[in-house]
Amino acid sequence: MNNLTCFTLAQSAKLLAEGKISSQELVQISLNKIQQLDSGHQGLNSFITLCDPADLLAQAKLTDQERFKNKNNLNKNLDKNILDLSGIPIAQKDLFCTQNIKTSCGSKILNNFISPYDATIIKKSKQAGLIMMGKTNMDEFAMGSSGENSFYGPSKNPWNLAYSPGGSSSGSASAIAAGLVSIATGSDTGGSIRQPASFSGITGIKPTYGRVSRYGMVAFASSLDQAGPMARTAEDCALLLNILAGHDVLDSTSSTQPLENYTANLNKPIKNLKIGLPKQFFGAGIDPEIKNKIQDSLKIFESLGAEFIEVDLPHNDLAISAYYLIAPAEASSNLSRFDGVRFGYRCENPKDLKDLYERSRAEGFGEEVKRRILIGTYVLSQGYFDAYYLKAQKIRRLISEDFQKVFAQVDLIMGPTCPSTAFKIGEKIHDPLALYQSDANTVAVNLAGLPGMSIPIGLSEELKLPIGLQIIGPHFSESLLLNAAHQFQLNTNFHLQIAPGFGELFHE
Amino acid sequence: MDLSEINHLANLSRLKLSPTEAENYAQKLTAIFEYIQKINQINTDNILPMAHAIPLELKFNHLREDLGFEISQEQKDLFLNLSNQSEQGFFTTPPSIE
Repeated sequence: MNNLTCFTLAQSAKLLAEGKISSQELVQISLNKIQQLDSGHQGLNSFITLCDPADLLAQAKLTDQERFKNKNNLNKNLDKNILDLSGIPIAQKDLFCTQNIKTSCGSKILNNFISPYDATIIKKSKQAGLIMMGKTNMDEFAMGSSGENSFYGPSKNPWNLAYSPGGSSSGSASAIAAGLVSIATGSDTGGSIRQPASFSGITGIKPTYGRVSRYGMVAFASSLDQAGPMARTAEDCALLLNILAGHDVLDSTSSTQPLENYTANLNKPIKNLKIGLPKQFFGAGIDPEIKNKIQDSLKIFESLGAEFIEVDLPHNDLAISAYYLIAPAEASSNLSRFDGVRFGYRCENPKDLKDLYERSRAEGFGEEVKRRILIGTYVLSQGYFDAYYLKAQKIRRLISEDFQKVFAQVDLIMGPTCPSTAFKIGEKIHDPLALYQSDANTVAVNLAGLPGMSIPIGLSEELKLPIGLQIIGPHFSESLLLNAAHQFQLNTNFHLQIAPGFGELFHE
Repeated sequence: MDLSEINHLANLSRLKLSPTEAENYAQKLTAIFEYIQKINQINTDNILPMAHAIPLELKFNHLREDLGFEISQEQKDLFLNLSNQSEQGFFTTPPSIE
C-alpha cells in the first residue's frame, strides 16, 4: 500500500471488517489524494466543495469506535448478509441537496446556496454510514455531456487531462477514475451517468425511472431524471444501489416496486442469456474501432453461454429529436423557480420585479441552460405545443414500444455507450448540436424509463481512451444488468485499470 | 428562428438578452430546429402521447390527505436566511411596477 493506493467499495468494507484498515485511514488516504490531485492547474477539478477535513476525520473516528464496540459485543446479532459500509468515503454529485453544505448544481445562480435540507439519497447514504468527502463538479443543472458547462470550470479526464471525462456527472466520473474515492452518485437524464462512465473507464448504472427517490434532487427534466451509483465495479454499484433504492413518500414519482438485494444474483451464471444487438446502435455514426472493441467484448459474454441476436429499434434515430424537445420543455418549467427572490443569486439594484427576474436569471444561468430554457419555452408556447411537444410525446411512445417488442425476444440489449471516445475539452463547445449527437445511444433509454448501465471494455489504440459497453434491460431488471456486468468483470480486468499516474488498485 | 421570436421567448422566460446574445441564440436554435424537423418524417396521427416515464401499472398513485401543516419558527428562519432580502418574515422584492 502506498499513498496512491485505490480501493473498491467491496475491498474497503472487507478491510474494515477484518480490522486491516481503519475508517480514519481510508478518509485520510482519500483526503491526501484529493488535495494532491484535484486542485491547481494540473488538477482534475472533480470537486466543487470539499467537506471540512477535521469533521470528516471525526466522523471516521466515530465509525471506528462503533465498529470496535460491535466487534466486542458478542451478543449482538449481526446479519452476516448485510455488508457494513459505514466509514467508507463517498462523493456526492452537486445536484443533490446536502444540509448545511453548499449545493450549487454547477451554477452561478446557486453559488451562494447552502441547502437547508438533505435529499433522500443523501439521508440514506448517511444512514448507511458513508462519509461524504464533498460535492462533485457537473454541467450546470445536469445540462451537458462534457463538464464544460460548469460555472466552476470543467473536470478533466484522468486518462488524458486535455480531454473531457464526459458529463453531466463529470466530477463523479473523474474522481472515481483517478481513485480519489471508490464510489459516487451521479444523475442521468439523457445519459449523464452512462456517458461519463464510458469516457472515464468506470462503471455506472441509471436505474429504472422511479427506482431511486428524486426528493432533494434538483430537477432538470422530471419525467427523465434518475439518480444512480457510479463506481469502479458492478459489484460496488450493486452495493450502493442497495442503499439508494426504494420507495419514498416524499417523491410521488417513486415506485413501490418491491426492493431487491442487488448483490444477490451477481454470481448467477449467464448461460442461455439472450442479448439483443440493435442495428441502430452500430450504425454509420459509430467509430469503427469502437465497433471492433465492442464485438471483442461480446465474445466474452458468448464464452459464458450468452446468445446474441440482431434486433431492431426502428425509431431510435428520432430519439435525440424527441429528447431535445421534451427535456428542455420540462427544464424550462423546472428552472422557473430560480427567480432571485427566495434563494440563490439576485442581481444588483433591480428596478422592478420583472427586472429582478430577468437579470438574476440572465446573470446567474450559463449559456447552455439559457439555450434550453428558450427551446423549452418555444415548444410549450401557444401555436407550437402540438407540433413539437405533443409530437415528441408520441414519438416517445413509439420508442418505448420498440423496446417492449425487443424485450419480448431478448433478456438484455447491448451496444456501444457512445459513438466515440472522449473528445478534447474545447472541441465541441461551440457546436451544441454536435454535442447532442454524442447522446445518440443513451437518450432512448431515459425516454422509455428503462435501466441502463455502462461498463469499461477497453482502451482506444492510439490515445488510450476508455470505451464503454451499454447494457439495457426491461423495467426493474437492475439485478440482471448487474449480474451480466459482474460476470464480464470476473473474466476481464478493464474495470480494474486506473488511469496512468493515478495509482494502483489495492491487492492483498 | 428570427430575432423577434427569440426576444419573445426571452420575455416569456424572464431572461434578459443582449442583442449579440439574442443573435447567437437565434442562430443556434435555427440549426437545432432544422435537425428536429426529422420528427415530421413520421406519421403519428393515431399514437397516444406518452406523458409518464413508465407504465402506470408499475407505479403507485401516491395521494395523501389534503392537510396543511405548520413549520417551526426555526425552520422559517432557516428558509428566510437563504435570502439576504427579508423583513418581518417575508422575502422582499422591488415593486412589480415602478
